[in-house]
Amino acid sequence: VNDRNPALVHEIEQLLFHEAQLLDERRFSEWLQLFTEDARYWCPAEDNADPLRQVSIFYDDAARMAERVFRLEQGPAFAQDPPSKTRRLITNVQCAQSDEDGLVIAHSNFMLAAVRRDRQDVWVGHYEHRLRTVGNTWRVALKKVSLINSGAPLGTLAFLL
Amino acid sequence: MTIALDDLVQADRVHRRVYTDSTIFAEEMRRIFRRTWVYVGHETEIPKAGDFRTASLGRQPIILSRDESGKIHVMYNRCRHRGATVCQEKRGNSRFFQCAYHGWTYAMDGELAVVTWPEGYGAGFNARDYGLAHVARVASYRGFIFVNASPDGPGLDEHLGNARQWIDAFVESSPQGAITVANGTHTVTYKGNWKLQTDNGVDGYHASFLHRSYFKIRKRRGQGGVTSGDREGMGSKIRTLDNGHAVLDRRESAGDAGYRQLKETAAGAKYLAALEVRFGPERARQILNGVLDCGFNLMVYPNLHLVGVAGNHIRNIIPVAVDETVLTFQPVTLNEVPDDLYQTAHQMYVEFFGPAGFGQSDDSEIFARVQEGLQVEDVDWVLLSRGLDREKVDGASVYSYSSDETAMRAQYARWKRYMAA
Repeated sequence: VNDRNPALVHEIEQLLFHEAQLLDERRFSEWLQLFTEDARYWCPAEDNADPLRQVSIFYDDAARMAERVFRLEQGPAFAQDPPSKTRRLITNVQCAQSDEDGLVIAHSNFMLAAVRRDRQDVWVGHYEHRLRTVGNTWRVALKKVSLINSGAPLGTLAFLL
Repeated sequence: MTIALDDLVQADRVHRRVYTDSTIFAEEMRRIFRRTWVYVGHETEIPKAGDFRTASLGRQPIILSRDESGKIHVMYNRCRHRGATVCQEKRGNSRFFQCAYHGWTYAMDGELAVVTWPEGYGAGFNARDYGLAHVARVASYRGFIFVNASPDGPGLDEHLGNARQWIDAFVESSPQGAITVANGTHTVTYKGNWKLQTDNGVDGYHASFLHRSYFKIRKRRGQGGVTSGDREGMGSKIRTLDNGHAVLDRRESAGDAGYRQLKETAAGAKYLAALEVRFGPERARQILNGVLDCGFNLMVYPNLHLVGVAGNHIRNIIPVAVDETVLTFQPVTLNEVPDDLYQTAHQMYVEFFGPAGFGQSDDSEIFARVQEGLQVEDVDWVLLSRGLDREKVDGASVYSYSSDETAMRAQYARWKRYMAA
């Protein structure tokens, strides 16, 4: 973990906060643009599971992320009708920069409250973002969402984590 | 207690109380989940000596274990001393189960091996009498483990009846005729009665409506639909089997979709060529077709669903309360199918199923909406009349278009007999 570069940590934090804002404000098309063309958006069902062979809660490439957004916007995705209202808190951000490929790995914790039909659910977990620069901007090559209750019986997770 | 069953289940409709009345739910746990064969797990989930997994028999906690000799045991997860559960993990490997309360320790076959300070129980105490209680009957069919809490009644083969040939067909998408269940588990909960899933599992009417977002997505990709364009499900059949079991057979409308898709890929063509040498063209085509999905869904009443749509998976229905159900989904490996072909099927599976799946999330949503709607007391009946005047009898089976509610009617007829017994 590299916190010797406070400017970098600040920059990454701002990106994570921006992403959270896009999701909570349902600005999904803008959210998609944060990702690289070869991105993965992954929520494992078990720690250290192989997403190519083992069950994931979701394991999207960029095309399927766009389809997930298409489903939310045009669907009909009944599980999000009406949509969940969400707010997420992102904390404990730690960044490490890889020397070889210029990749930055950002770890953070999140707490996400989702309200739908008067019922509030709270989801808690860990985000791992792998970021690289494309042109002059940071892009997300991997967003891994590790829910602390991923192994428990889960209700629907049709909104974006 | 006696329940006026004729007021609950009629030829073409079911009373809302069947889904909402907690006294009926309690009777179901007694008369169905404690008296007939209930699916609890697959042998390949505990392949080695000492392997175990925990599961549920209705609402009762149980342990599936494999002892040193390789024998499978299904036991209640309950210390014989004061009742605590003795196994806390979902799965693992161990030499014993030890109760945390006073240290009573059981071998993997359930024998009571150690009692802390046994002299306090006096000379008449025999540890042999206090092993973990075994579920009365355990039997497997092609690796699927079923238990029956009642020592009496028909055996597993008689219970499965002609559903066996469909279990055979499910596993025979593998050239070895065997599957492995070791690819993880989706566990989903929904706010609704368990029978909403048994209904849905034989419902060929809903997919084109409830899941139309999925077909739109497939269309955007230029892929054919799994059932798209099959108006009224006329190209596929719902067929009742013995004891409330049923199969929704889409193979006719799907044609050779899996075969045609895979043989165009390098890996698929290579695999097909090898299969043709070994099995001849017809069986080769059948095996290749089954890689992406076997083309049918088999409901083994009351709680096992083998699903061959978007991959092949095993679904287990676990009732929790009258208005709460847990489902587990386990995609299967078809033994000897090349890994890259499995991966193609697996991505289809993950996309559609599980709590965030493009399909399953809407199924869970509609179950909750039904449960909510059935709180209305001034409307009694849930209609299951679709196709009643066009279904056909074929020996002991009835079949019709897959959009017809033929299999649901058969499930409730069987339900009524279970509940009356």
